[in-house]
Amino acid sequence: MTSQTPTLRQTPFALPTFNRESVIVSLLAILTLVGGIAGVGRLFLGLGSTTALSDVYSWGIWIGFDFLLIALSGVGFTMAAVVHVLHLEQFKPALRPAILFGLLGYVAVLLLLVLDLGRPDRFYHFILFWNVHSPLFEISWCVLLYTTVLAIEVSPYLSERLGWRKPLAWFFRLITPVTIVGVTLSSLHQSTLGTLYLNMPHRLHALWYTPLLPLLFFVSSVLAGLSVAMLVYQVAVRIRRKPLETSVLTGLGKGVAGVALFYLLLKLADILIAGKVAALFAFDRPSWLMWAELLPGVLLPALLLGLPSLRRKPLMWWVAPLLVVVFAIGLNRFNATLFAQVNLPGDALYTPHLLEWLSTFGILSAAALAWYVGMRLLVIFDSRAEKEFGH
Amino acid sequence: MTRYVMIADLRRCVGCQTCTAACRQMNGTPPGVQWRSVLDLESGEYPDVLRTFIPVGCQHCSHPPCMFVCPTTATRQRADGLVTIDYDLCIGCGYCIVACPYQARFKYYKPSYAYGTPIDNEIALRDARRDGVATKCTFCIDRIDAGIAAGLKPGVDPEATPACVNSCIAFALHFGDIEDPESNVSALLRENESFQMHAELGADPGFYYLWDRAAGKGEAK
Repeated sequence: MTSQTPTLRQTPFALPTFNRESVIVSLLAILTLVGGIAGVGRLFLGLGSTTALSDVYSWGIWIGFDFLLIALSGVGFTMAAVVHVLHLEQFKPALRPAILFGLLGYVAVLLLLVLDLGRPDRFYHFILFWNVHSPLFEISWCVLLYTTVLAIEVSPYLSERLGWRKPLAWFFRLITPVTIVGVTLSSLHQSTLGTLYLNMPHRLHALWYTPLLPLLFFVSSVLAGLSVAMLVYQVAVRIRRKPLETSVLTGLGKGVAGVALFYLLLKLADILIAGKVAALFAFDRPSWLMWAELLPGVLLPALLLGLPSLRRKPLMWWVAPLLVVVFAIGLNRFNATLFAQVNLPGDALYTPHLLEWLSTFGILSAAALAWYVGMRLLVIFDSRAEKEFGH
Repeated sequence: MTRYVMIADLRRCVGCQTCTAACRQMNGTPPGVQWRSVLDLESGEYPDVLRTFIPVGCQHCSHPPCMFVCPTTATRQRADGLVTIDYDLCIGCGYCIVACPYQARFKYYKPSYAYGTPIDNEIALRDARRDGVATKCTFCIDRIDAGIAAGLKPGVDPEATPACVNSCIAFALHFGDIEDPESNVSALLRENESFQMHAELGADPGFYYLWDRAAGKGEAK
């Protein structure tokens, strides 16, 4: 009889032995702990003592990472739209890692936003006092509602694990309307993030300031979404030791290449039509920053995943989406919020405070850790309920 | 209708900074938070150089970008044109600080005092509601309202007029109702050349600068 006792290694709760996985998890846990302390410190000690923010730079790296993380979390609505609206069922294996990433990304955004407020205790005021003209009002509402949608989308992963049949049946009845609401909310606020700077042409360098900002932000969030979907799917199959379905990656890769080319065309068309070619070839700091977005961030991944011979190489499934995340999205969002800001008082500088870095990485690590735990514990692949309830 | 505006006569301002001190004295703002400040600009090439002093602060725009972007309706506009901040609604998100083209908005990031420990005036004027939220020049709204209640005329009677205007040693600062053709500010704008700072942004600031372009040999921007 004793032979039937499961060992720790066989349960999803198993503590990993000393290997790469355990090292990464421990590192994330340490960063979470340190960042948590830094974040609590910021809440008690106030912005002035714990940040380098000022009235010149009232938005710092917290906002930069918010912009980046919202774009990356676009993976949630992108993959939901691919699978549930476009009905491209072959991408279903990559859906659940993506949705959970989206949910945790948005939770992290909310935490970072609360840290950034001068009065974090009043974070809920946008619910009570409506200024419907404010882009930030719309973003706040969409983020709140869409995070709720993502939580609903994630709920069956848990209810199936726990064997709750009633909520499962309900969920699969509601999946299509819930997905459509989610995609709508996402399209709204992903583009509105671009609108944030639309009414301040004096703040943004001409290479970035364009009436197309909302469209560029939306298209790049789809680009980010497809790239992140490739990355998290690969990590998820490794964690769960599942076979990698290469057709999922080559298919998503085609999507990344297509959207990247479209995004590149939009950016170049804007630069050409608005007469900003001279600024692009000025080879000063802003010009180099723009080139760094366009070449390694957009054109190169488009080639790596667009050419069939390269697209089949497993290395490209990591390199190309990482290039998109770092250069096309990461650099772009930090350019928009920090590096391409102009007309600030000459001697003003912003060097983020150590606590800003620690709290940021703490929150990002907490989200990554939660995603990892989700990958281990929730029903991510081969959902029986999905087959049973006909989705 | 009433719309209160301020006028700075750049031909008269000598950059003495008395208005900035009066503002601090009246409003008890901490170091680094200067609702009224005076820029000191040099222009031209030697020997044709010019030094211009430009009082700046909240412009009380008729289309305030700050009010447009505020996610919680904390920033509002009164019927008399004054742009106000409700300290109890503001969450300190900082969007208005980013959006204001005039860099006129300030957050109290941490309690601080001119001499380390608070002096009597700072203790008397300390307003904890301002901590962590957006603040800016109010045109001394309390003085205006109390003055009007007492039957006084803002811009004419010192008790109903912003502290900076009262303190100006050169009569460079003026305050009054631009909708009233008989007012001091209407007369000044009628009789002198004037401009609004960054009028091209379309916010229609309630702050006018008197300036003689021919004598100034250049743009005062």
